[in-house]
Amino acid sequence: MFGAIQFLNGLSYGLSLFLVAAGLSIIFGVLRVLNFAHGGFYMLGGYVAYEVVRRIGMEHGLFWVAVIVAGVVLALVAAGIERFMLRQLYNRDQIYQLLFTFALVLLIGDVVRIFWSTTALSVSFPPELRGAQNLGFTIYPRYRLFLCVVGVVAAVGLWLLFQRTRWGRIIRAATQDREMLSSLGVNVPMVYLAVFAGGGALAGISGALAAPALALRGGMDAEIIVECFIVVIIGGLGSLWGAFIGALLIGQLRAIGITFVPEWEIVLIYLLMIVVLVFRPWGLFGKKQAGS
Amino acid sequence: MKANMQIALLAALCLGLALVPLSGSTYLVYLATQILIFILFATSLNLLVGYGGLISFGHAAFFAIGGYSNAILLTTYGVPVLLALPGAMVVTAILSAIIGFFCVRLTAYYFSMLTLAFGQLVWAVAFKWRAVTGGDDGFLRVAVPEWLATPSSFYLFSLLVVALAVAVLWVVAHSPLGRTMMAIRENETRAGFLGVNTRLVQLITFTIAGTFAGLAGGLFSMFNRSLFPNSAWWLQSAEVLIMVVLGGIGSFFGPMVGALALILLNRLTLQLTEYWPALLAIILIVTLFFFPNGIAGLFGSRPAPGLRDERGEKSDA
Amino acid sequence: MLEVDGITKSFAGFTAVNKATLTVAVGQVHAVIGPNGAGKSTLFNLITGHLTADAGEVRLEGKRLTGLPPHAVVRSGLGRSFQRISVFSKMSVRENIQIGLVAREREELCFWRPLRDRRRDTDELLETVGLIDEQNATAGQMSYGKQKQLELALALAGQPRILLLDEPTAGMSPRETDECIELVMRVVKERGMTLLFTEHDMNIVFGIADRISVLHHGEIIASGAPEEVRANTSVQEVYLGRPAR
Repeated sequence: MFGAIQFLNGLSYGLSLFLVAAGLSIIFGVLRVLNFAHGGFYMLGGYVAYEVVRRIGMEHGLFWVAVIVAGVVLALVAAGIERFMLRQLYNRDQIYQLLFTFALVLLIGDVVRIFWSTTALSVSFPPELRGAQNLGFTIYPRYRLFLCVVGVVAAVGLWLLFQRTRWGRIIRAATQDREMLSSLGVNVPMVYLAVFAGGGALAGISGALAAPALALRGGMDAEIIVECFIVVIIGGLGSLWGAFIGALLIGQLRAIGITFVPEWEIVLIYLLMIVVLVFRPWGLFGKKQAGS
Repeated sequence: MKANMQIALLAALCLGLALVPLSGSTYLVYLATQILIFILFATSLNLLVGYGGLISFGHAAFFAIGGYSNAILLTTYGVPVLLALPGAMVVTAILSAIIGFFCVRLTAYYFSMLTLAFGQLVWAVAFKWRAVTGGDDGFLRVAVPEWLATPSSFYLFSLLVVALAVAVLWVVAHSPLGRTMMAIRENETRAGFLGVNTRLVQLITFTIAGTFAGLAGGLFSMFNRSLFPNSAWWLQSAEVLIMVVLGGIGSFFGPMVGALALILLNRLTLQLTEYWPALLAIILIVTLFFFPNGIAGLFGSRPAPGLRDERGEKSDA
Repeated sequence: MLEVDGITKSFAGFTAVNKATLTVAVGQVHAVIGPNGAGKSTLFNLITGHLTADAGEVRLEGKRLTGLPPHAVVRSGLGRSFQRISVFSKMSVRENIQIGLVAREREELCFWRPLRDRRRDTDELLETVGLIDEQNATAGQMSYGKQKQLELALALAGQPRILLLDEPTAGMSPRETDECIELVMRVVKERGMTLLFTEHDMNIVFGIADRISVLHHGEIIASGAPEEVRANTSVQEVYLGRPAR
């Protein structure tokens, strides 16, 4: 029976998925790099948060420290990768960048496994958000509600960033025409670095926030990157709005799937992807590209 | 290298390989069999990656489909192996045509994402469809026929199959289709404006590549006498992709060298297999940064047209 | 032979080509001229199927071309060269031609036997465009003029009945221009082909065209014999002053 709880499950999942997919989409839009490592960033964020919680505990307010640390660590890691490695490959064929980020996700996944082993780990809910909230029409876990709120705030925040701030305008311009941008005096390498680091931080924070709700385990990087890919395939690469709608669709479809065909919900999601690909191959909000 | 010299070398190689069982070492025979299977697997992927410029991150899906099909035909239905293997190839061909249809419709990035997504889908099906595939426990006790039961006999059988298959792949790579794939990779719009139906060409190549990966998988299911869902997991796709890159994307024989190198490396670092994915990743990164034309490139093999060292817009209208 | 009938194309509110209509007779040399931004390349892209028209039709010898993908358009007997060089730059000149020949003989799906060399046909095409000495050169490393010759060879490879050339002399020196035009006209006359081309250089246009169509803001404002077009007042207003260069 699909009711309010399932809908809210789908919503909270979709909105956290959006957080990760948004970073992927933006990184692609600006750097034209399909960042496989995004899955690794997400996973690493979760594990970093776990580690921080393990050391400093979960007393009032400390979980947020863990989340922030995860964000900072990922921003630094991503920045380092972009500055010292990815940058060397910009002049080369797309193949190199693709293979490089693929190698990264393998590497990060194994590094995580080395440090934290393969047993599933869990993070408990932060004390401020334990228990369930009475919403009138149903009772729902506080933490998941919080995730919904975060997702919406992030969506709005990103939208404001891109539409209203100077940085946002620069980033949007970068997705259109990079050569033009550098001739306008913008420090393009800095923009790339900031976008990649920002995207990484976003993925890391998302991973950290998701940690209490999901178990941390091997293979979560594969899962999340495939879902992100499906989100951007459906929504259209480079489109923030597309990532938002796509993620929400996936979230709901997953909830429906879990309710009616448990164990096979993944097939529903693939079916949606195939349907979209048949009728709108460039995604719901993507740009139609003839040939190349 | 002159063509005649190349053929002579290959003949000598085949002869040498045929003599491996005489060494008396079962370990060597097993190792050689595994290398042969992955040579076929990597060469099939090279058709897509090296000639077509299409980076598939889900090629293991077809390896698994072929493997499971063969295992099921042999074991569950008692089909003789000389029918089961072709049967597995047919099943793989059909599924790779279907999956390929969706994957080749779009530009390179979507192609790569889709191949990964479909690869994981195949993994999920293999994992969950316990009734047919045995799920996580694996498909065990594959019914390898009597005449292939010994390591040496299976090795010689594999040698024959792989040699034939690689010969076929060689013809495909050097056929008008193969050349057209290279042209499409170089300048897709131009190829279209010469009258080439680029999507169809890519689809056919995708199907052929998948089918031969399925053959490799079929051989593997007998070699291993069992098959597990991880044969479709992206790590397996990563391995074969790295074999191709390490060996040299631009050459036909490069991936074979890559397969040999990677499997030997795997064996040598047996104590470190815990870190195998990390090691794979490091190998890939080092190759990308320091010798992008792979091992074959170190021997002067010319990179395939279209593999650029400098970024340039693909010249189209 | 080629009829363009009311072709229209808009991009996000901006109408690039508006009900363009022109007719090219068999064996005619037909020029499309117009100021920059008039929509000449867009019109070509619409004819060859690279872009889908919003309205209107294109017919080649009576057969409908609109809605067909580029490769099907080419198969109908149309050859095209591009304004910006579009060849297979990392392949040799010979290999470039061979792709064209493979396509001409519809062999691109053949995967069961090795590629045939087609030495004679390749040589013939190379001779025609004057690249026989450069046959083993890497296409992308040749001079601009020679790459343009290769462009022409590729357009001719499919043995088209009508040739579409998009600014064939763009970026060329006066001498290269003369050579290029001489080559094009020789080939066109020898093979009895129809030629539709766009150009900025009015000397060339009035030198070789049998018929001229003038495109302005996406609309054909005049179409006829060179003297008619030259005398047309609206054309003079919009565009013609002294012949360029």
